[in-house]
Amino acid sequence: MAKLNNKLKGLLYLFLAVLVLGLSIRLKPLDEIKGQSQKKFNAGEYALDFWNRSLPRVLDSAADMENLLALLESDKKAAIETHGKSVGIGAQYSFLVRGSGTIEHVASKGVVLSLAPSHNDTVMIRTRNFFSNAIRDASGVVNVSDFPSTMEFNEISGEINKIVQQQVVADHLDLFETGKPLEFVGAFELDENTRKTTPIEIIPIRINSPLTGDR
Amino acid sequence: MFKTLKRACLLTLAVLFILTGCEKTEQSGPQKIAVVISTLNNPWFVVLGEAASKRARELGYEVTLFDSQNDNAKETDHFENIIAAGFSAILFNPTDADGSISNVRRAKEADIPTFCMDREINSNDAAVAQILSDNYSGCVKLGQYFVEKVGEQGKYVELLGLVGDNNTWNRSKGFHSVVDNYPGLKMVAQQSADFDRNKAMEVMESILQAHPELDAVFCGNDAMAMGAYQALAAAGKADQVMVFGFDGARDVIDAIRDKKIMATGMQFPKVMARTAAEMANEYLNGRRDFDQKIPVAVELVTQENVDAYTAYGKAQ
Repeated sequence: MAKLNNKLKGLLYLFLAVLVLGLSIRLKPLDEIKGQSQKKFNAGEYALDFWNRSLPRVLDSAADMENLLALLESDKKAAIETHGKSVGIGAQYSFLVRGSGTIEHVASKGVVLSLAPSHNDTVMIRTRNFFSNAIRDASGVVNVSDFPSTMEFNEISGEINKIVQQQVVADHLDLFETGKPLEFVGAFELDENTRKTTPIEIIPIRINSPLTGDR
Repeated sequence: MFKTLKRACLLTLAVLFILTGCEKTEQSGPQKIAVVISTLNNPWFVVLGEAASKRARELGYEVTLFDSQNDNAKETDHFENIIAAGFSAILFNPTDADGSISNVRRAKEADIPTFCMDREINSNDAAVAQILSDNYSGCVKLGQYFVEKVGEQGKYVELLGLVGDNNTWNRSKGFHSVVDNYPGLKMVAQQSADFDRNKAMEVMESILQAHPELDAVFCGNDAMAMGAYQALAAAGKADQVMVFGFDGARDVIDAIRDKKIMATGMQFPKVMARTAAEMANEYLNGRRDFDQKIPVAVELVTQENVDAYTAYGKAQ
């Protein structure tokens, strides 16, 4: 009988030990702790897909550049509310624009265009060494919250700018001559608090000559 | 046997009682918000922590400030204490973008919302929201200014921050995305000084031994910029070598005004801290639709526009 009691005691204490351990240890899969899949983000592929699929769908919403400049002058707040896009908190806004004009001169950074129809304003179409987030942000289709690391979001602009340099600019070098007409769709960034005195610098998305048609 | 059984049952009940008693304690009185900062050894982070605490108190919360001392293990201890003590929300400045994820997840499991400030964690579903400095774009602007001032030819050094912090790499990559397009600009040394002024001074002193002829130094934060400047001044080279920082700290803003340092990127710690506190308050009052990542723009402060700025923000 004593032996049976001892065995029973042993079993009960074992049961208690298992119960205590079970309640105090939690096992979780490593994937859940890491929280992310192992697939590495490819900014180049993302940018190409953005360029070929997402961006063309929003280009029709581009504001007329000459009208936008007039609105920025007369009512900056309205211009920003109607046409500007921003990411997060700050005074920086990006705009998607279209326009046409005549090349006044070719500078090292880009071509200076006198805007049609009035030719009262000039803009610069950047052709070299541009580092802007304008196209990514002005499109409104790339959401920073979709990326676990903001470095992935950051890399997209760099890849988009490479596409601009290697495709848009490189394919149209023959159009960049003083006196030639140019049509463009592009994007630029503006700091709400800065009064810009130099021509607004536009990163081109599409360029063509009205003389030779779409390219 | 019956006595044994009775003792066993009582013991089981006692154990269960103790274990369930380790759950979050119910609290009466004002709700508590925890502000967990990576390090209070750096004035920039002191401003972040104090601004978050101040706004949370203004909103009616009891606040406790925790210093993780740049140690992920210490940060984990803080989270365990916060969860056990029944805090209602956490305003969090992580020590490590990957290493801090598990802490935020544990808080989430305990129904404590976390709002990251300044630094991110590499996860989209742990924190309620992350209010982050747009370091990359800020350093793109700084990089362009660097090229404008240094020119397209020259030798420079880069001092990096903590290697486990995404901000270190966001800043460095933003800077290099510009400067690496100019092959005449050569980086002769790149070393981490952990965002620390004293370490930056030591690192810069040793770099100067190997590279006495330099044109510029780019530092991943203002504390390191001041350390680098000290080393250059001690070597009699402060007038020859341009120093660029990042943060918008008081001493660098003053140094820019005194034309000792060329430029910095103004982050807005008070904006990030206040936004985090207000979001926590909105969450605790029922709001749930937050953007996961909210970048806060960084502005370039130079010798030309420094009068528009003060330490950690804009001049009034």
